[in-house]
Amino acid sequence: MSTVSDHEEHALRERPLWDPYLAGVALGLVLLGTFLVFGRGLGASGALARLTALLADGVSPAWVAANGHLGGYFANGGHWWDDWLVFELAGVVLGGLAGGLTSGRFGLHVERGPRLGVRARLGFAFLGGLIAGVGARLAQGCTSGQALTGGATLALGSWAFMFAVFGGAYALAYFVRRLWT
Amino acid sequence: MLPHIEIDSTRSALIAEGEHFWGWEIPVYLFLGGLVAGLMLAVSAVVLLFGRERVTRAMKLGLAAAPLLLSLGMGALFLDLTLKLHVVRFYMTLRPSAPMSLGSWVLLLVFPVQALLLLALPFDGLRALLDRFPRLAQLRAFAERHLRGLAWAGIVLGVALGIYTGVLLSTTVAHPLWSSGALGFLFLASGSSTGVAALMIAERDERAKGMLARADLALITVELLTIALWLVGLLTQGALYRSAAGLVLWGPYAPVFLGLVVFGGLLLPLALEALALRGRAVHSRVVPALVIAGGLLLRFVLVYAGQDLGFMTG
Repeated sequence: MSTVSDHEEHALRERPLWDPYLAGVALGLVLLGTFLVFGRGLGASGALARLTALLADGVSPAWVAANGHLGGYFANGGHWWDDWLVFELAGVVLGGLAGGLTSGRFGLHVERGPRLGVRARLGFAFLGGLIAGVGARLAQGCTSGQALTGGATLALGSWAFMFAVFGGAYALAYFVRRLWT
Repeated sequence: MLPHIEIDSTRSALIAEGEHFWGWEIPVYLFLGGLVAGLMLAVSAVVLLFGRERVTRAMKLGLAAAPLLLSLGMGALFLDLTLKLHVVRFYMTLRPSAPMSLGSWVLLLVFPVQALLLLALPFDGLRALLDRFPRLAQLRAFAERHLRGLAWAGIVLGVALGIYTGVLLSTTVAHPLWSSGALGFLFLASGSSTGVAALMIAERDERAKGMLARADLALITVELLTIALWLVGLLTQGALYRSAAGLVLWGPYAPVFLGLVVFGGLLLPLALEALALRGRAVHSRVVPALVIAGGLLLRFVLVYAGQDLGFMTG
Protein backbone atom coordinates (compact mmCIF):
# COMPACT_ATOMS: atom_id res chain seq x y z
CA MET A 1 0.00 0.00 0.00
CA SER A 2 1.44 3.33 -0.95
CA THR A 3 1.05 5.69 1.97
CA VAL A 4 1.70 9.33 2.58
CA SER A 5 5.22 10.04 3.68
CA ASP A 6 5.50 10.46 7.43
CA HIS A 7 6.67 14.03 7.11
CA GLU A 8 4.39 15.49 4.52
CA GLU A 9 0.69 16.00 4.34
CA HIS A 10 -0.91 15.45 0.98
CA ALA A 11 -2.53 18.63 -0.18
CA LEU A 12 -5.45 17.05 -1.96
CA ARG A 13 -6.34 18.99 -5.08
CA GLU A 14 -9.89 20.28 -5.00
CA ARG A 15 -11.99 18.25 -7.37
CA PRO A 16 -14.62 19.90 -9.60
CA LEU A 17 -18.25 19.72 -8.56
CA TRP A 18 -20.51 17.17 -10.22
CA ASP A 19 -22.53 18.15 -13.23
CA PRO A 20 -25.91 19.24 -11.73
CA TYR A 21 -27.92 17.13 -14.18
CA LEU A 22 -25.83 14.06 -13.37
CA ALA A 23 -26.24 14.82 -9.64
CA GLY A 24 -30.02 15.07 -10.19
CA VAL A 25 -30.12 11.63 -11.83
CA ALA A 26 -28.00 10.23 -8.98
CA LEU A 27 -30.37 11.74 -6.41
CA GLY A 28 -33.30 10.15 -8.25
CA LEU A 29 -31.55 6.78 -8.07
CA VAL A 30 -30.95 7.27 -4.34
CA LEU A 31 -34.65 8.00 -3.95
CA LEU A 32 -35.52 4.84 -5.90
CA GLY A 33 -33.09 2.90 -3.71
CA THR A 34 -34.71 4.12 -0.49
CA PHE A 35 -38.14 3.04 -1.76
CA LEU A 36 -36.76 -0.40 -2.58
CA VAL A 37 -34.77 -0.91 0.63
CA PHE A 38 -36.76 0.96 3.27
CA GLY A 39 -40.17 1.19 1.62
CA ARG A 40 -40.09 4.92 2.17
CA GLY A 41 -38.67 7.91 0.36
CA LEU A 42 -36.38 10.71 1.45
CA GLY A 43 -37.15 13.44 3.96
CA ALA A 44 -35.41 15.93 6.20
CA SER A 45 -37.78 18.14 8.16
CA GLY A 46 -39.38 15.12 9.88
CA ALA A 47 -36.02 14.18 11.39
CA LEU A 48 -35.40 17.77 12.50
CA ALA A 49 -38.86 17.88 14.07
CA ARG A 50 -37.94 14.76 16.05
CA LEU A 51 -34.67 16.35 17.15
CA THR A 52 -36.65 19.41 18.23
CA ALA A 53 -38.98 17.15 20.20
CA LEU A 54 -35.95 15.55 21.88
CA LEU A 55 -34.46 18.90 22.87
CA ALA A 56 -37.80 20.26 24.06
CA ASP A 57 -38.42 17.07 26.03
CA GLY A 58 -35.09 17.57 27.78
CA VAL A 59 -36.14 21.07 28.86
CA SER A 60 -39.84 20.60 29.56
CA PRO A 61 -41.22 17.05 29.27
CA ALA A 62 -44.65 18.12 30.56
CA TRP A 63 -45.03 20.74 27.84
CA VAL A 64 -43.98 18.25 25.14
CA ALA A 65 -46.40 15.62 26.44
CA ALA A 66 -49.22 18.18 26.25
CA ASN A 67 -48.18 19.31 22.76
CA GLY A 68 -50.21 17.44 20.17
CA HIS A 69 -47.51 17.51 17.52
CA LEU A 70 -44.26 16.96 19.43
CA GLY A 71 -45.84 14.78 22.11
CA GLY A 72 -47.04 12.36 19.45
CA TYR A 73 -43.46 11.23 18.84
CA PHE A 74 -43.26 9.83 22.36
CA ALA A 75 -46.77 8.38 22.53
CA ASN A 76 -47.12 4.67 23.42
CA GLY A 77 -43.51 4.42 24.59
CA GLY A 78 -42.09 5.71 21.31
CA HIS A 79 -38.56 7.07 21.02
CA TRP A 80 -37.43 10.14 19.11
CA TRP A 81 -35.35 7.96 16.81
CA ASP A 82 -38.19 5.59 15.83
CA ASP A 83 -38.14 6.79 12.25
CA TRP A 84 -35.79 6.02 9.43
CA LEU A 85 -35.57 9.72 8.56
CA VAL A 86 -33.42 10.28 11.67
CA PHE A 87 -30.87 7.78 10.38
CA GLU A 88 -31.18 9.07 6.84
CA LEU A 89 -30.30 12.54 8.12
CA ALA A 90 -27.28 11.12 9.99
CA GLY A 91 -26.32 9.44 6.69
CA VAL A 92 -26.64 12.77 4.87
CA VAL A 93 -24.19 14.35 7.34
CA LEU A 94 -21.78 11.40 7.12
CA GLY A 95 -22.08 11.31 3.32
CA GLY A 96 -21.42 15.04 3.13
CA LEU A 97 -18.36 14.58 5.33
CA ALA A 98 -17.05 11.75 3.14
CA GLY A 99 -17.72 13.77 -0.01
CA GLY A 100 -15.99 16.85 1.39
CA LEU A 101 -12.94 14.94 2.58
CA THR A 102 -12.46 12.90 -0.59
CA SER A 103 -12.92 15.88 -2.92
CA GLY A 104 -10.58 18.19 -1.03
CA ARG A 105 -13.39 20.58 -0.17
CA PHE A 106 -13.68 19.96 3.53
CA GLY A 107 -13.45 23.04 5.71
CA LEU A 108 -15.39 25.45 7.86
CA HIS A 109 -16.62 28.49 5.99
CA VAL A 110 -19.81 30.48 5.51
CA GLU A 111 -21.11 30.82 1.95
CA ARG A 112 -22.26 34.40 1.51
CA GLY A 113 -22.66 37.26 -0.91
CA PRO A 114 -19.84 39.79 -1.30
CA ARG A 115 -21.64 42.52 0.64
CA LEU A 116 -22.91 40.45 3.52
CA GLY A 117 -21.04 39.88 6.80
CA VAL A 118 -20.86 36.45 8.41
CA ARG A 119 -23.19 37.35 11.28
CA ALA A 120 -25.78 38.89 8.98
CA ARG A 121 -25.59 35.84 6.71
CA LEU A 122 -26.12 33.48 9.64
CA GLY A 123 -28.97 35.67 10.92
CA PHE A 124 -30.75 35.58 7.55
CA ALA A 125 -30.10 31.85 7.27
CA PHE A 126 -31.69 31.34 10.69
CA LEU A 127 -34.68 33.49 9.73
CA GLY A 128 -35.08 31.67 6.42
CA GLY A 129 -34.74 28.31 8.15
CA LEU A 130 -37.38 29.32 10.68
CA ILE A 131 -39.86 30.25 7.94
CA ALA A 132 -39.03 27.11 5.96
CA GLY A 133 -39.42 24.98 9.11
CA VAL A 134 -42.86 26.38 9.90
CA GLY A 135 -43.86 26.01 6.23
CA ALA A 136 -42.63 22.43 6.14
CA ARG A 137 -44.67 21.52 9.21
CA LEU A 138 -47.77 23.23 7.78
CA ALA A 139 -47.31 21.35 4.50
CA GLN A 140 -46.44 18.12 6.36
CA GLY A 141 -43.13 17.85 4.52
CA CYS A 142 -40.27 19.79 3.01
CA THR A 143 -38.66 19.82 -0.43
CA SER A 144 -37.29 16.33 0.22
CA GLY A 145 -40.39 14.72 1.70
CA GLN A 146 -43.02 16.51 -0.36
CA ALA A 147 -41.38 17.58 -3.62
CA LEU A 148 -38.92 14.72 -4.13
CA THR A 149 -40.65 11.78 -2.49
CA GLY A 150 -44.27 12.82 -2.91
CA GLY A 151 -43.55 14.11 -6.41
CA ALA A 152 -42.02 10.77 -7.37
CA THR A 153 -45.26 9.02 -6.38
CA LEU A 154 -47.21 11.60 -8.46
CA ALA A 155 -49.12 12.80 -5.39
CA LEU A 156 -51.22 15.80 -6.39
CA GLY A 157 -50.59 17.69 -3.14
CA SER A 158 -46.84 17.24 -3.53
CA TRP A 159 -46.90 18.68 -7.05
CA ALA A 160 -48.97 21.62 -5.79
CA PHE A 161 -46.36 22.05 -3.03
CA MET A 162 -43.53 21.98 -5.57
CA PHE A 163 -45.15 24.66 -7.75
CA ALA A 164 -45.85 26.76 -4.65
CA VAL A 165 -42.22 26.44 -3.52
CA PHE A 166 -40.77 27.47 -6.87
CA GLY A 167 -43.43 30.14 -7.45
CA GLY A 168 -42.81 31.61 -4.01
CA ALA A 169 -39.05 31.52 -4.48
CA TYR A 170 -39.20 33.31 -7.85
CA ALA A 171 -41.60 35.90 -6.45
CA LEU A 172 -39.43 36.68 -3.43
CA ALA A 173 -35.99 36.39 -5.01
CA TYR A 174 -36.18 39.94 -6.37
CA PHE A 175 -36.49 41.40 -2.87
CA VAL A 176 -33.55 39.54 -1.38
CA ARG A 177 -31.27 39.56 -4.44
CA ARG A 178 -28.87 42.04 -2.87
CA LEU A 179 -27.96 39.48 -0.22
CA TRP A 180 -26.11 37.56 -2.90
CA THR A 181 -24.86 40.22 -5.29
CA MET B 1 -36.35 -23.39 41.75
CA LEU B 2 -35.58 -21.12 38.89
CA PRO B 3 -36.08 -22.69 35.47
CA HIS B 4 -32.61 -21.92 34.19
CA ILE B 5 -29.78 -23.56 36.06
CA GLU B 6 -27.25 -21.01 34.82
CA ILE B 7 -29.08 -18.14 36.45
CA ASP B 8 -29.75 -20.23 39.53
CA SER B 9 -26.09 -20.97 40.01
CA THR B 10 -24.43 -17.64 39.36
CA ARG B 11 -23.97 -14.36 41.11
CA SER B 12 -26.46 -12.79 38.72
CA ALA B 13 -29.34 -14.83 40.08
CA LEU B 14 -30.92 -11.90 41.81
CA ILE B 15 -31.16 -9.67 38.78
CA ALA B 16 -34.84 -9.05 38.15
CA GLU B 17 -36.07 -10.19 34.76
CA GLY B 18 -36.98 -7.57 32.20
CA GLU B 19 -35.93 -4.76 34.48
CA HIS B 20 -33.62 -2.05 33.15
CA PHE B 21 -31.38 -1.83 36.16
CA TRP B 22 -28.58 0.13 34.46
CA GLY B 23 -29.01 3.62 33.05
CA TRP B 24 -26.63 6.05 31.30
CA GLU B 25 -24.02 5.84 34.06
CA ILE B 26 -22.76 2.37 33.16
CA PRO B 27 -22.18 2.93 29.42
CA VAL B 28 -20.44 6.23 30.20
CA TYR B 29 -18.21 4.46 32.74
CA LEU B 30 -17.45 1.60 30.34
CA PHE B 31 -16.64 4.09 27.58
CA LEU B 32 -14.34 6.26 29.69
CA GLY B 33 -12.64 3.18 31.16
CA GLY B 34 -11.96 1.86 27.65
CA LEU B 35 -10.79 5.27 26.43
CA VAL B 36 -8.33 5.57 29.32
CA ALA B 37 -7.09 2.02 28.68
CA GLY B 38 -6.54 3.00 25.04
CA LEU B 39 -4.62 6.17 25.99
CA MET B 40 -2.38 4.20 28.36
CA LEU B 41 -1.77 1.46 25.81
CA ALA B 42 -0.98 3.91 23.02
CA VAL B 43 1.54 5.98 24.98
CA SER B 44 3.15 2.90 26.57
CA ALA B 45 3.44 1.23 23.16
CA VAL B 46 5.13 4.33 21.71
CA VAL B 47 7.65 4.36 24.58
CA LEU B 48 8.45 0.67 24.16
CA LEU B 49 8.49 0.55 20.36
CA PHE B 50 10.02 3.90 19.44
CA GLY B 51 11.50 5.38 22.60
CA ARG B 52 10.56 8.34 24.77
CA GLU B 53 11.69 10.86 22.11
CA ARG B 54 8.73 9.90 19.94
CA VAL B 55 6.19 10.69 22.66
CA THR B 56 4.64 13.92 21.42
CA ARG B 57 3.02 16.74 23.35
CA ALA B 58 -0.44 15.45 22.39
CA MET B 59 0.42 12.03 23.83
CA LYS B 60 1.67 13.63 27.04
CA LEU B 61 -1.56 15.62 27.26
CA GLY B 62 -3.49 12.38 26.69
CA LEU B 63 -1.55 10.79 29.52
CA ALA B 64 -2.41 13.76 31.77
CA ALA B 65 -6.09 13.58 30.81
CA ALA B 66 -6.32 9.82 31.48
CA PRO B 67 -6.66 9.92 35.29
CA LEU B 68 -9.17 12.76 35.05
CA LEU B 69 -11.27 10.84 32.52
CA LEU B 70 -11.06 7.68 34.62
CA SER B 71 -12.16 9.64 37.68
CA LEU B 72 -15.13 10.98 35.72
CA GLY B 73 -16.00 7.42 34.68
CA MET B 74 -15.72 6.17 38.23
CA GLY B 75 -17.86 9.12 39.30
CA ALA B 76 -20.56 7.92 36.89
CA LEU B 77 -20.23 4.41 38.32
CA PHE B 78 -20.54 5.83 41.83
CA LEU B 79 -23.77 7.59 40.85
CA ASP B 80 -25.17 4.22 39.79
CA LEU B 81 -24.59 2.63 43.19
CA THR B 82 -27.69 2.33 45.33
CA LEU B 83 -25.74 2.07 48.58
CA LYS B 84 -23.02 4.58 47.86
CA LEU B 85 -21.09 4.21 51.10
CA HIS B 86 -20.62 0.50 50.42
CA VAL B 87 -18.06 1.39 47.74
CA VAL B 88 -15.31 0.97 50.38
CA ARG B 89 -16.19 -2.72 50.63
CA PHE B 90 -14.61 -3.31 47.21
CA TYR B 91 -11.27 -2.46 48.76
CA MET B 92 -11.68 -4.44 51.97
CA THR B 93 -11.43 -7.74 50.13
CA LEU B 94 -9.89 -9.30 47.03
CA ARG B 95 -11.66 -12.11 45.24
CA PRO B 96 -9.61 -13.18 42.21
CA SER B 97 -12.54 -15.20 40.87
CA ALA B 98 -14.86 -12.16 40.83
CA PRO B 99 -14.26 -9.83 37.87
CA MET B 100 -15.80 -6.86 39.66
CA SER B 101 -13.44 -7.31 42.62
CA LEU B 102 -10.43 -7.74 40.35
CA GLY B 103 -11.51 -4.75 38.24
CA SER B 104 -11.79 -2.54 41.31
CA TRP B 105 -8.18 -3.29 42.20
CA VAL B 106 -7.06 -2.81 38.59
CA LEU B 107 -8.71 0.63 38.68
CA LEU B 108 -6.81 1.44 41.85
CA LEU B 109 -3.48 0.29 40.39
CA VAL B 110 -3.97 2.28 37.20
CA PHE B 111 -3.76 5.65 38.97
CA PRO B 112 -0.21 5.40 40.44
CA VAL B 113 1.17 3.96 37.20
CA GLN B 114 -0.42 6.82 35.24
CA ALA B 115 0.95 9.32 37.75
CA LEU B 116 4.49 7.91 37.46
CA LEU B 117 4.26 7.84 33.65
CA LEU B 118 3.15 11.45 33.76
CA LEU B 119 6.07 12.38 36.03
CA ALA B 120 8.46 10.75 33.57
CA LEU B 121 6.77 12.31 30.53
CA PRO B 122 5.35 15.69 31.58
CA PHE B 123 4.13 18.17 28.97
CA ASP B 124 5.79 21.57 28.98
CA GLY B 125 3.37 23.37 31.28
CA LEU B 126 3.39 20.55 33.79
CA ARG B 127 7.19 20.29 33.70
CA ALA B 128 7.45 23.94 34.73
CA LEU B 129 4.98 23.30 37.54
CA LEU B 130 6.82 20.20 38.74
CA ASP B 131 10.11 22.11 38.81
CA ARG B 132 8.62 24.24 41.57
CA PHE B 133 8.32 21.18 43.81
CA PRO B 134 11.88 19.97 44.47
CA ARG B 135 10.58 17.28 46.82
CA LEU B 136 9.23 15.47 43.78
CA ALA B 137 12.69 15.35 42.18
CA GLN B 138 13.50 11.94 43.62
CA LEU B 139 10.22 10.46 42.46
CA ARG B 140 10.65 12.01 39.02
CA ALA B 141 14.15 10.61 38.78
CA PHE B 142 12.81 7.19 39.75
CA ALA B 143 10.03 7.39 37.13
CA GLU B 144 12.44 8.53 34.41
CA ARG B 145 14.89 5.77 35.28
CA HIS B 146 12.20 3.10 35.15
CA LEU B 147 10.24 4.43 32.19
CA ARG B 148 10.35 1.17 30.24
CA GLY B 149 9.19 -0.78 33.28
CA LEU B 150 6.36 1.71 33.78
CA ALA B 151 5.44 1.42 30.11
CA TRP B 152 5.21 -2.38 30.50
CA ALA B 153 3.03 -1.84 33.56
CA GLY B 154 0.95 0.53 31.43
CA ILE B 155 0.53 -2.19 28.79
CA VAL B 156 -0.48 -4.86 31.33
CA LEU B 157 -2.88 -2.57 33.21
CA GLY B 158 -4.22 -1.05 29.98
CA VAL B 159 -5.07 -4.52 28.64
CA ALA B 160 -6.57 -5.50 32.01
CA LEU B 161 -8.66 -2.34 32.21
CA GLY B 162 -9.81 -2.58 28.57
CA ILE B 163 -10.78 -6.25 28.85
CA TYR B 164 -12.36 -5.76 32.27
CA THR B 165 -14.93 -3.28 30.94
CA GLY B 166 -16.23 -6.02 28.60
CA VAL B 167 -15.83 -8.87 31.08
CA LEU B 168 -17.99 -6.90 33.51
CA LEU B 169 -20.89 -7.37 31.08
CA SER B 170 -20.08 -10.88 29.90
CA THR B 171 -20.03 -12.29 33.43
CA THR B 172 -23.54 -10.97 33.99
CA VAL B 173 -24.76 -14.19 32.42
CA ALA B 174 -28.45 -13.58 32.99
CA HIS B 175 -28.57 -11.73 29.66
CA PRO B 176 -27.80 -13.63 26.45
CA LEU B 177 -26.59 -10.61 24.46
CA TRP B 178 -23.73 -10.19 26.94
CA SER B 179 -23.10 -13.89 27.41
CA SER B 180 -20.05 -14.08 25.18
CA GLY B 181 -16.32 -14.38 25.78
CA ALA B 182 -15.75 -12.06 22.82
CA LEU B 183 -17.03 -9.00 24.69
CA GLY B 184 -13.82 -8.50 26.67
CA PHE B 185 -11.75 -8.44 23.48
CA LEU B 186 -14.34 -6.29 21.70
CA PHE B 187 -14.17 -3.69 24.46
CA LEU B 188 -10.38 -3.85 24.50
CA ALA B 189 -10.23 -3.25 20.74
CA SER B 190 -12.86 -0.52 20.92
CA GLY B 191 -11.22 1.17 23.92
CA SER B 192 -7.84 1.07 22.18
CA SER B 193 -9.20 2.53 18.96
CA THR B 194 -11.05 5.33 20.81
CA GLY B 195 -7.88 6.09 22.82
CA VAL B 196 -5.80 6.33 19.64
CA ALA B 197 -8.56 8.39 17.99
CA ALA B 198 -8.51 10.83 20.93
CA LEU B 199 -4.76 11.26 20.44
CA MET B 200 -5.32 11.80 16.69
CA ILE B 201 -7.63 14.72 17.47
CA ALA B 202 -5.02 16.44 19.64
CA GLU B 203 -1.96 15.48 17.56
CA ARG B 204 -0.15 18.19 15.56
CA ASP B 205 2.98 16.31 14.61
CA GLU B 206 2.54 14.99 11.05
CA ARG B 207 4.77 11.99 11.56
CA ALA B 208 2.84 10.95 14.68
CA LYS B 209 -0.48 11.58 12.92
CA GLY B 210 0.43 9.04 10.24
CA MET B 211 1.56 6.53 12.86
CA LEU B 212 -1.63 6.93 14.89
CA ALA B 213 -3.82 6.70 11.79
CA ARG B 214 -2.18 3.40 10.80
CA ALA B 215 -2.61 2.07 14.33
CA ASP B 216 -6.26 3.12 14.36
CA LEU B 217 -6.85 1.37 11.02
CA ALA B 218 -5.52 -1.87 12.48
CA LEU B 219 -7.53 -1.49 15.69
CA ILE B 220 -10.78 -0.71 13.88
CA THR B 221 -10.24 -3.77 11.69
CA VAL B 222 -9.71 -5.94 14.80
CA GLU B 223 -12.82 -4.42 16.36
CA LEU B 224 -14.91 -5.23 13.29
CA LEU B 225 -13.62 -8.80 13.32
CA THR B 226 -14.42 -9.12 17.03
CA ILE B 227 -17.93 -7.79 16.47
CA ALA B 228 -18.35 -10.42 13.75
CA LEU B 229 -17.09 -13.16 16.09
CA TRP B 230 -19.41 -12.02 18.88
CA LEU B 231 -22.46 -11.99 16.60
CA VAL B 232 -21.62 -15.28 14.84
CA GLY B 233 -21.22 -16.83 18.30
CA LEU B 234 -24.66 -15.62 19.35
CA LEU B 235 -26.33 -16.60 16.08
CA THR B 236 -25.08 -20.17 16.30
CA GLN B 237 -25.88 -20.93 19.95
CA GLY B 238 -29.61 -21.46 19.82
CA ALA B 239 -32.91 -19.65 19.52
CA LEU B 240 -32.58 -17.41 22.56
CA TYR B 241 -29.10 -16.21 21.63
CA ARG B 242 -30.32 -15.62 18.05
CA SER B 243 -33.09 -13.44 19.45
CA ALA B 244 -30.47 -11.52 21.44
CA ALA B 245 -28.35 -10.97 18.32
CA GLY B 246 -31.55 -9.96 16.53
CA LEU B 247 -31.94 -7.03 18.90
CA VAL B 248 -28.96 -5.34 17.28
CA LEU B 249 -29.14 -6.91 13.81
CA TRP B 250 -32.81 -6.52 12.83
CA GLY B 251 -34.59 -5.46 16.02
CA PRO B 252 -35.16 -2.09 17.66
CA TYR B 253 -31.47 -1.33 18.14
CA ALA B 254 -30.42 -2.33 14.61
CA PRO B 255 -30.59 1.17 13.07
CA VAL B 256 -28.35 2.62 15.78
CA PHE B 257 -25.99 -0.37 15.90
CA LEU B 258 -25.64 -1.03 12.18
CA GLY B 259 -26.11 2.54 10.97
CA LEU B 260 -24.29 4.62 13.53
CA VAL B 261 -21.92 2.25 15.36
CA VAL B 262 -20.79 -0.12 12.61
CA PHE B 263 -21.15 2.14 9.57
CA GLY B 264 -20.74 5.67 10.96
CA GLY B 265 -18.32 4.80 13.76
CA LEU B 266 -16.20 2.07 12.18
CA LEU B 267 -16.56 1.41 8.43
CA LEU B 268 -16.71 5.06 7.32
CA PRO B 269 -13.75 6.22 9.47
CA LEU B 270 -11.84 3.12 8.34
CA ALA B 271 -12.41 4.02 4.69
CA LEU B 272 -11.68 7.73 5.17
CA GLU B 273 -8.51 7.12 7.19
CA ALA B 274 -7.29 4.57 4.62
CA LEU B 275 -7.99 7.04 1.79
CA ALA B 276 -6.26 9.86 3.70
CA LEU B 277 -3.15 7.70 4.18
CA ARG B 278 -3.08 7.11 0.43
CA GLY B 279 -3.45 10.82 -0.23
CA ARG B 280 -6.95 10.44 -1.67
CA ALA B 281 -8.79 12.23 1.13
CA VAL B 282 -8.06 15.10 3.48
CA HIS B 283 -6.92 14.33 7.04
CA SER B 284 -9.55 15.66 9.40
CA ARG B 285 -10.13 15.58 13.14
CA VAL B 286 -13.78 14.84 12.44
CA VAL B 287 -12.88 11.28 11.38
CA PRO B 288 -11.36 10.21 14.73
CA ALA B 289 -14.25 12.05 16.42
CA LEU B 290 -16.58 9.63 14.61
CA VAL B 291 -14.61 6.70 16.06
CA ILE B 292 -15.02 8.11 19.57
CA ALA B 293 -18.75 8.77 19.09
CA GLY B 294 -19.15 5.23 17.70
CA GLY B 295 -17.35 3.79 20.74
CA LEU B 296 -19.69 5.62 23.12
CA LEU B 297 -22.78 4.54 21.18
CA LEU B 298 -21.56 0.92 21.09
CA ARG B 299 -21.62 0.82 24.88
CA PHE B 300 -25.02 2.49 25.09
CA VAL B 301 -26.47 0.00 22.59
CA LEU B 302 -24.91 -3.00 24.32
CA VAL B 303 -25.97 -2.00 27.82
CA TYR B 304 -29.52 -1.00 26.87
CA ALA B 305 -30.21 -3.81 24.37
CA GLY B 306 -28.69 -6.41 26.68
CA GLN B 307 -31.21 -5.59 29.39
CA ASP B 308 -34.13 -6.06 27.00
CA LEU B 309 -33.83 -9.84 26.90
CA GLY B 310 -33.13 -12.27 29.72
CA PHE B 311 -32.99 -16.06 29.77
CA MET B 312 -36.29 -16.31 31.59
CA THR B 313 -38.19 -13.77 29.50
CA GLY B 314 -36.77 -15.25 26.30
